[in-house]
Amino acid sequence: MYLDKFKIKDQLCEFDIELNEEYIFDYYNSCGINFHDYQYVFPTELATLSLKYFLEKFPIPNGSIHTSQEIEITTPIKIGSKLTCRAFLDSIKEIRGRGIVIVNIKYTKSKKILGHANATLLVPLS
Amino acid sequence: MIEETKLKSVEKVITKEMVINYANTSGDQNPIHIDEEYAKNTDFKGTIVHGMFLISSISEMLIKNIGLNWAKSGKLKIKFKNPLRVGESISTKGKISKIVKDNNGTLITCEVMCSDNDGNVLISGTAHWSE
Repeated sequence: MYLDKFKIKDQLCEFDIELNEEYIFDYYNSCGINFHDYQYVFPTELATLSLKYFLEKFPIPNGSIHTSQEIEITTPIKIGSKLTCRAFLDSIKEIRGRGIVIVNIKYTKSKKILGHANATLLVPLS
Repeated sequence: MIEETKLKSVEKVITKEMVINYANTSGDQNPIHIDEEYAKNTDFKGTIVHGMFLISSISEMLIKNIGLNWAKSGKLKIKFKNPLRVGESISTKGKISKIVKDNNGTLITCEVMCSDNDGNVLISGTAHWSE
């Protein structure tokens, strides 16, 4: 099953992201959002970019379903910021022939936590 | 802002082109979103929009109604209820449900959802921010 090599609370990976204007422009453009005030990063832009890097390291198997998502920004993040993301396995369970996996990502800058995200995935067992 | 205030909705059609662009931006190239042939043989019987794309419509509504306070202190908790087929339209709703004032400011709670053209709820949840 997806991520079953890890134990609960294990750190899965660490990576850096840069929330630059080019990414923000591409994000707004792809979502059809007509907004061009590039001061601060909104929660969904942050979660989407970090998931991109996470999925490169741990591709989700076909047939997986994203069932819930939580995102919180605790300290304002300016456009252009470079953040370190640490992904953890928050939970992994097997229920009725499917796996339920929760991945937690913490966003930090200079060791200060600026926010976090939790993604819950329903994954095939094999 | 007072309790029961309804936010201005976001309404749009999510096209195949938008989904392909979003797949490139987000890196989520799962064939269920972009490969018609693959998706035809799944339970969904066709390509479906990324869940995070649907969440972006909630964020868009909050950006337009709330502005920078949403960026500075936003918290969003969303459950995915139903898939949206590519090419269909969506509409968002938001209603302020709770306002709590303390020494640190005001914490706003807003119930949010996004539904399709037939009124089926696609995603729903809660947004919080401080003012």
